[in-house]
Amino acid sequence: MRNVPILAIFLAGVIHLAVAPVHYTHAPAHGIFFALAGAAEIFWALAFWRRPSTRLYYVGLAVAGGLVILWAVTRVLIQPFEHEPGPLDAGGLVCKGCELVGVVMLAILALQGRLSGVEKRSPLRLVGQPLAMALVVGVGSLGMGYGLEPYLPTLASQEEPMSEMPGYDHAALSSGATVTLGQLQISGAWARPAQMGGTSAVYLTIVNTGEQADALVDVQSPVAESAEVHEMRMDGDVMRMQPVARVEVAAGGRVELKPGGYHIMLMGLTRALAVGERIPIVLQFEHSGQVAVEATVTSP
Amino acid sequence: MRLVLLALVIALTGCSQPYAFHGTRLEPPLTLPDFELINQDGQTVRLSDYRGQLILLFFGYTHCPDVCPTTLAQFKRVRAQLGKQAERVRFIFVTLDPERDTPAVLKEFLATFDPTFIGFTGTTADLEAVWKSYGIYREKRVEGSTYFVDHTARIYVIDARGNLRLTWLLDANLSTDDLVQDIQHLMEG
Repeated sequence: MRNVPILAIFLAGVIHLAVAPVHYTHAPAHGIFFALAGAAEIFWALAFWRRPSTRLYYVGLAVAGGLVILWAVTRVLIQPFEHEPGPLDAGGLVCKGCELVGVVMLAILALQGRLSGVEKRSPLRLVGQPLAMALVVGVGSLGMGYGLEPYLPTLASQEEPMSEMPGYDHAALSSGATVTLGQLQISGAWARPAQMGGTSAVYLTIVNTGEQADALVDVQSPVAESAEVHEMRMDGDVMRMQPVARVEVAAGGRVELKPGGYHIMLMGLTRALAVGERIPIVLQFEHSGQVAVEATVTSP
Repeated sequence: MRLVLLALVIALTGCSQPYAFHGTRLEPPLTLPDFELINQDGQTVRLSDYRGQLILLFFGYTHCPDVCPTTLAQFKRVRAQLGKQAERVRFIFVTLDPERDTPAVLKEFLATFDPTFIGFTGTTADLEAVWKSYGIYREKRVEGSTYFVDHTARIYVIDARGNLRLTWLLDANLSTDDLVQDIQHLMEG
């Protein structure tokens, strides 16, 4: 029974270590923090399993509990070294679930006096004290993160926050539906998977429901050094690619950016694009202005 | 009786009517010089290593945003449609951009499509000789901090004896079915 919470916290540590490299690529500080947190949890689990003690009991609750508190707070507040709160992803939920199970079970076992090596004390000391310590660890590490951030800019996320882009419409984006910008409707955006430093192409459909012609005049994306609309054209046997200054969308018309025709070229990718993820693309129209859409990375 | 004979003649000539390829047929087949390059695992390979199989040769580059990935995605569908016959067909991607397409880059790129696809790279001099013998036009076009390569968009089919038999020009009208039919016909013939 005693081994269940230890195993749960050990597992949380393994998850932290496993996702550390991915986090390193979006913000190095996060990668380092995940690696340290994971190592601490694994080390604690092994130590407590080998030789449980009252002191280690407090340390375990403070660390695992503190990480749960830190996680919960950064779902709402902007994370240190990042531009926005963290996502509610499956990996995070499982990891925090493990820590929560571990912490709660340890406390219950201690209260029942069933944790060998841990002295039986009053509920206030066995539960209240570690809870206070966890709060200190959680809030303290958050404060430390905010405090260190200005001094360690190289460890911060280099991605431009999408929410700061003009035309950002979170509701429209998260629904995955057609994005509407005045009389224009943009849908079906997808991008090709590609390696970091490589090139990708984005395809989408623009429908003009209005009575005024418009034109796509500029594109950009935070995942690429530069972006341009290109047209693929066959010149005899030769496939030529050329930049297009504007893509006309006639009144009541429809333009498809698709393989073998127009596409948005992403050049100098700042990171790899993996199948399934969504990347932001900002479109600038001559009359309707700017809008951000999300393209799903898809292998055709 | 005469009518029956006539019908028979028509039926027979109908059967022996030559198959109409969707690509451009080379008649007689062309024998191009063999070449030696580096595959995506860094090993030295010769085209003749694949003698006995049908080879689909395609020239492109991994930074190519549109036509190359589209073609490789189509190769993947061709492979699926061929089913068991695909074991006798090799899909080879020869780079037009040796500067950026190292074996490792090629390997990662091809793996996103099909791990059985073969990638060829090498020194610019070695590759230039290959491009030349296949009549590949290649023009590097610098744009900002990067560059693209405008290039001949053809697929070359080399038969089991090592002769160039057919080429397809890549355009929107060329369907996966067209490719599969031509391949199956070449394998039977």
